[in-house]
Order: sequence, then C-alpha cells, then structure tokens
Amino acid sequence: MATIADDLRPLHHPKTWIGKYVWSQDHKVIALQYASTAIGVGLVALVLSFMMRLQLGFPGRFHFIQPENYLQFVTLHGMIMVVYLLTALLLGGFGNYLIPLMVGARDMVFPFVNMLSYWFYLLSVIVLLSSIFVPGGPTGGGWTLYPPQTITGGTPGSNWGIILMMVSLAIFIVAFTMGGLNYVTTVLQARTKGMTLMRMPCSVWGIFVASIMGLLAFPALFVAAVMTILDAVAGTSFFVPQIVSMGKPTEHVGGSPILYQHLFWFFGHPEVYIVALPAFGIVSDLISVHARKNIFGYRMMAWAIIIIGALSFFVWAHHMYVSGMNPYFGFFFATSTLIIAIPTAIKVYNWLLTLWRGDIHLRVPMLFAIAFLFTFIHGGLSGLFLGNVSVDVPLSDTFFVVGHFHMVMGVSPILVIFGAIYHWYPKITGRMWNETLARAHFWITFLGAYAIFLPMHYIGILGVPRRYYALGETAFIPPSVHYANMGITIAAGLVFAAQFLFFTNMIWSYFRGPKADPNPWGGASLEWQTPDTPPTHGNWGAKLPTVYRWAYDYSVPGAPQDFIPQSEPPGAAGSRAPA
Amino acid sequence: MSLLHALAEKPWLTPGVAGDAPQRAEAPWDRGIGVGLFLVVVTMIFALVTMAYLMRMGHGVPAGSQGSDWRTLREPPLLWINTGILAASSLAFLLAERSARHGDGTATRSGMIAGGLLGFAFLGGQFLLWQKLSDWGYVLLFSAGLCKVGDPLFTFPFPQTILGNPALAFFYLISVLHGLHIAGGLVAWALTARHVFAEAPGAATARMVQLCARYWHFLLLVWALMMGLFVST
Repeated sequence: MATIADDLRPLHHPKTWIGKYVWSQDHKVIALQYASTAIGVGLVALVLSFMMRLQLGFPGRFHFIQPENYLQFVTLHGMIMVVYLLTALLLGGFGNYLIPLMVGARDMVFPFVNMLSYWFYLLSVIVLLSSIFVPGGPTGGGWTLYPPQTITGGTPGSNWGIILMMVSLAIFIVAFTMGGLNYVTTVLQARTKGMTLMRMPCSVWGIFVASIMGLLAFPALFVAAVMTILDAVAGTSFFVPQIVSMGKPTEHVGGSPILYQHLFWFFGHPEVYIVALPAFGIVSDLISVHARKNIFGYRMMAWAIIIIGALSFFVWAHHMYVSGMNPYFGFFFATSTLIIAIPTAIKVYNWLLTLWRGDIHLRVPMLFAIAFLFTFIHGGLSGLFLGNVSVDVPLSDTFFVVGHFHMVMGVSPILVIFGAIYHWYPKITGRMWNETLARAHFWITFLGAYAIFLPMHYIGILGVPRRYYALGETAFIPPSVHYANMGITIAAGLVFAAQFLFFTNMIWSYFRGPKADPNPWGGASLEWQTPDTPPTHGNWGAKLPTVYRWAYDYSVPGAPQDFIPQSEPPGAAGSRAPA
Repeated sequence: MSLLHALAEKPWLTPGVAGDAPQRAEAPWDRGIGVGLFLVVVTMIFALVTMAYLMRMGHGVPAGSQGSDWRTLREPPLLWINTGILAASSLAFLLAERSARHGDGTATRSGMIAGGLLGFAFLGGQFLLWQKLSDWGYVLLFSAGLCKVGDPLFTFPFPQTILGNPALAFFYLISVLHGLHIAGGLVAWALTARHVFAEAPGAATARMVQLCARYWHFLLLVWALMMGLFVST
C-alpha cells in the first residue's frame, strides 16, 4: 500500500494479473475492457449488416437468409450498434479513459462501482447474444421493439427472443447508471487544482453532458422494458390492445402501443445525442490539435453541448409523426426539432472556422475528423426533411430514413471513434500505428460509406420501403434500384473487408509498432502530460498536476513551441502573460 | 462561484490558477453528489411510471366509464399500516442523523437499528400485502395462452377474469419497483451501520448517516406520492 503525497487515499496497486487486468478498478483497464467488448459485439452487428446487404443486393441467392432471419438481423444490428457499441464505446470506453486523465484525477470517484459497471455490461451482452441460441431465435421486431408485434405470434423471437432482449437492456441500463454516476461525479468532484469547468477540453464536456442525459433518459427504456416483459409473460396489458393474432383473439385488452412509443422515444431521441455529444467533443479536440489552432468559439461549443442536451428531451415525438398525433403537438415537435439545428449549426460553423487558416496537418486522426464534417453535415441536412411533418410522412419507413440516420448517427460517430483511436493510440499503448495501413483504412471506409449510404437516399425518395426482405415485382421500383442495391452491397463488402486493415494495424502495432513519443501530436491537454506513457496506475506519479490555462493554447504568438501544455504556469518559458 | 458565472469564464484570457476548482482531487470522496444523482435516476423511473399510469388510465375508454378495463382496486388496511411503518423508519433515521451530528454514538446506533428493522418490516409487510391482494383474487395471470415460452413456470392456472385490470398491474409494478428501491436502501443501511458500529462518532460517520437518512426520506416521499396516486385514482 502506497500513500501518494498529495492524495489522502491509499492507492491499492493490484499485485496479481487477475487483479490488474480482470477485476481491475483502474479506469484505463476498465476503458479497454469496455472498448474491446463493444468492438467485439459491434463486429457481430457488422456481420449481420453484411448479411442483410447480401439479401438486398442479390435477393434469394443466399438460402441461409430467410425472411425471419432478415428481420432478426435488422433488429440485432440496430440495437447492438446504437446501444451496445456506440453508447458503450463512447462513454464506457472513451469516457473511462479520458475523463480522469483530462481533468487531472487519479481515477474515477467510485472505482469499485466502475468495475461493476463493466461486468454488468458484459452480462448484458452475453444475455443479448444468448438470444441467438434459444428456441425461436432473437427478436425480429425491429430495433424499436414496438409492441404488440414484438410479443405477438408471427414475429420472429416473440417468445424467448424479446424477453432476453428486454432483460439484456435492463441489465445494460443498470451498468450504464453505475458508469454514468461515476463520469458525472468525477467531473464535478475530482478535477485537479486549477481545472475550472471552462478549462475542460470539449471531449470531457461532451462525455459529461451525454452521461447526465443518459442518467435521465435510460430510465424510460428501463420502464418500457420491464412493462414489455410483464406484457409478454405475466399477462398484463400495458401496451398490447385487444387483437386477433394468427386467427385467434389474444387475452390482452385495452393496452396502448402509443404509450410504449412515447417511453421508447423519450429515451430514443436523447440517445442520438448521448452518442453524438461525446463525438462532437472528441472531434473538436481532434480538429484543434491537428489544425494547431485553438477551437473557435470555445464557450459557444460548451454551451451548445449543454443546450443540445437539454433540447433533445423535447423532440422525441418527431419519431412518431406517422403514429398520429394532435396537429398542435406535431407543430410543437417539428419546431423544437428545427430549433435544435441552431446550436448544432453553431458547432459545425465553429469546426469549419477552426480549420480556417489553421496549420492543418492531414494526419489520419484529422482525416477522420474532416470526414466526420462531411457525413455529419450531410446527415444533418437530410434530417431537415424528416423533421418536418409533411415531408416526413411520405418519406417515413423508406430507405431515405436509413440513409439519413446512418449518415448522422452511424457513420459520423464511427468516423470520430476511428479518429479518436488513432489519435490516442500512442498514449494508450506507447506505440505508433502503421501510416500506410491507416490511410488505406481511412479512404476505403470514408468513400465506401458514401457509396453505401448516398444511394439509399435516392432509393428512399423513389419510395422503396425499409425492413422488407424482398421487393418482388413491384411496379413503381425501376431497375436502377436493383443496380443501386447491388452496388451498395459490393461497397459494403469492401468497407467490411477494410476494417481488417484497422484490426491488423492495431494488433501488429501493439507488438511491433515503433515506440511512440509521449506527446506525438503536440497536444496541450493534460492526458498528454502524464509522466509515463502509457500512464501507470494512479496516472500522475507522486504529484497531481496543477492546471494554469485552457486546453487550446496552440500557435500562441511568441511561444517557442506551437502549443503550451495546460500544466505550464504563466511566465514559464513559452507561455503568455494574462491579457 | 455560481454555475452561471463559471460557465461565463473566458478561459483563454485568464492563465493562472483559478478559484472555482477543488483545491486538489482528494479522496475519500464525499458521496453526496453520487447519492443525489442516483436519486435523480430513481425519480425519473417513478415519474415515468406515473406518466404511463395516467396515460394508460385515460387510454381508450376513460377509467370509470362503462366498458373501461380499468377497475379501481380496494385498498387493504395493511397498505396504510405499511406506510406508517415506512414513515416510522424514516423518523428513526432522522433521529439517528441528529444524534450522529451531535456525536451521540449510542443514540445513533439505536436509531440505525430501529430504522433498518422497520425497513425490513415494511418489506415484509409488502409481501403480506401482495398475499392479501392475491387472496382477494387480484393476481396477475402468467398465461400459457399468451406466453409462447412453453415453460411450466409460466402456466399458473389463474382465473382469466383478473387478467385485464391495468390498475392491478400498475400496483404490482410500482410496489415491486419500490420494493427493489427499499432493498437497495437496506444494502446502504447495512454498509452505514457497519461503519457506525466500527468507528467512533465523528464527521465522517455523521455524513454517512445523513446520506443514508436522506435516501430513506426519499423512499418515504416516493411511496407517499405513489400511495396518493393509487388512492386518488
């Protein structure tokens, strides 16, 4: 047991391999556990999406993909990507790794709870994947899991599949709550001396606000999951009305499917921003560091994150326009949806203005950051169509929607995640990755993503519905749709294959990559100033750092270097005096 | 420094050690913020269940109208007795909190024991309450016809006439969720009680007892609101 000089808490350094890497309470190890599990389950979802593409591109050629399988792939792919990959990786992975390092703490405030959070998350993944092996298979009700169809005969997985999905989500929410409490309390309580709120890097702002949002939004999914389970096994009628299923009336009476939709989307829309805000924060830091320029409008960027987070709780019903609602409600939700575009647009302008006349280094993390700007602006603009009731109704449930949300909350955060992994990999592993492989990975992924999702907008505008196993001999669908579908599938295959370049690079570089400089990009934020690379348990050695400035002192006139670390006092060589 | 003032800082203008951050990131951490945030999460759960209750009540044929599936439950006297027990538990924690603040170890321990035992009593009372409702025929139907799982666990032969009453379903749902919340409170109580019995009275003990008491007052508040919902609808 060693007592660190300026920290009253005794640090218990684990002595065994299991203590260090399995039952670890070190935020960095937990981050890697979260990240590896999330990426692992994400790969499953990626395989599922490629199976869907095989069916859509070449209908009927692959006999192992039956209609019920297709629906199960759609459902699992969507839920895994949104919840078990993106949420877990951005908050559990990057949140865990970055928050203590960026705010100058030794660890999370509740390390034991943090460890529990990961193991509950792993349990939720195991329960989810176990649904593949139960009678009837996983649920095929679509990722929104709307009752009554999800629990009614005829829908794949309407017996065990939906129950396991809902149980898994409930466990995930318990895991997230434990993690989220840690992220928020660590930011509020464990910032080092001098680290004011407005000196925090944008990455921490994004993760911090997203964690608060998660704590407020996930309870809605929890409630919906518990009530659906009760409808499925206990005979209650929370959501299921009196219906005839497979020719026979069910025992349900009076339930409200719309009630489920409200609960689901009260979680579901903030969830978009729970994923997006950490990505916004991280991409701000990538752009600033690699453009060697302070982030433009830092205060506006932090405020916009808070405002977006708050507004996102008032837009959920724009997912329910076709469910029918009072026109005044439709007007309200369309208006609030469009208002949220204002702080979002401020962020986009600020990213572009940060790039403007910057000393741009087109390294791989920066390439991914710029690619994000393309896909996010693209996805945001197509969102304007869907945010308006009258335009949304004809486009609803078409491939236009698939193209839109994959651009805005699929591809965009994934590009940021790749950029972030390349950016912080040298700090996490102490090694550098291979430049050629990384660039090949970027270009195939970026261009491939466009080749996949841009044609979907065209297909959608023609009226092609999503979630259909086969289109058949439909009169309004021209041959170009079939060619587009084939092209999309080929592009998807290439992008899928390109991810192996990434994994090869990461694994090979971990063992054989050249030793990395502790601060290879010249970053000013605290995580680049650790005494050890990779940082050891406790992060800061004997003494916690003191913060004297914000995280964006780049290219300061008169400074000998083009960055000044946050921990460098004013008056020291290279720093500037107060204005 | 207020939050708004902190958010208005122009960090690029003010190099130097700033004032609003904690002096240093010290442990052990005060758990107040963590407990408070957790209670916010629990508040969200019960608020959303309440919204669902009200929406479901007004769905289709409004409750009370002919043809409505919403049938108001009779309230067994045990419901009020249990509520009284929970209030007494909260009172005991209040006394423990005050005693801890004044450094009175014996009174703190007594209050903690009384509060915890009353918590267990409330949970036991809730089990009796569910038993009572069951005896009255207010049971959920674990239906073989509905659930295709095919497991004997889900095939209890309960009368189907009970099946469709959402008021009953919500009562069970809310009381079970609250019961889980109580169970969590008992874990917090056990951890706090261990500390109270092992350590001499002091500021740390007083803070732990205070947070434990806060949790139990919150439990009482939630239950009172849920009771109000049941009784008034």
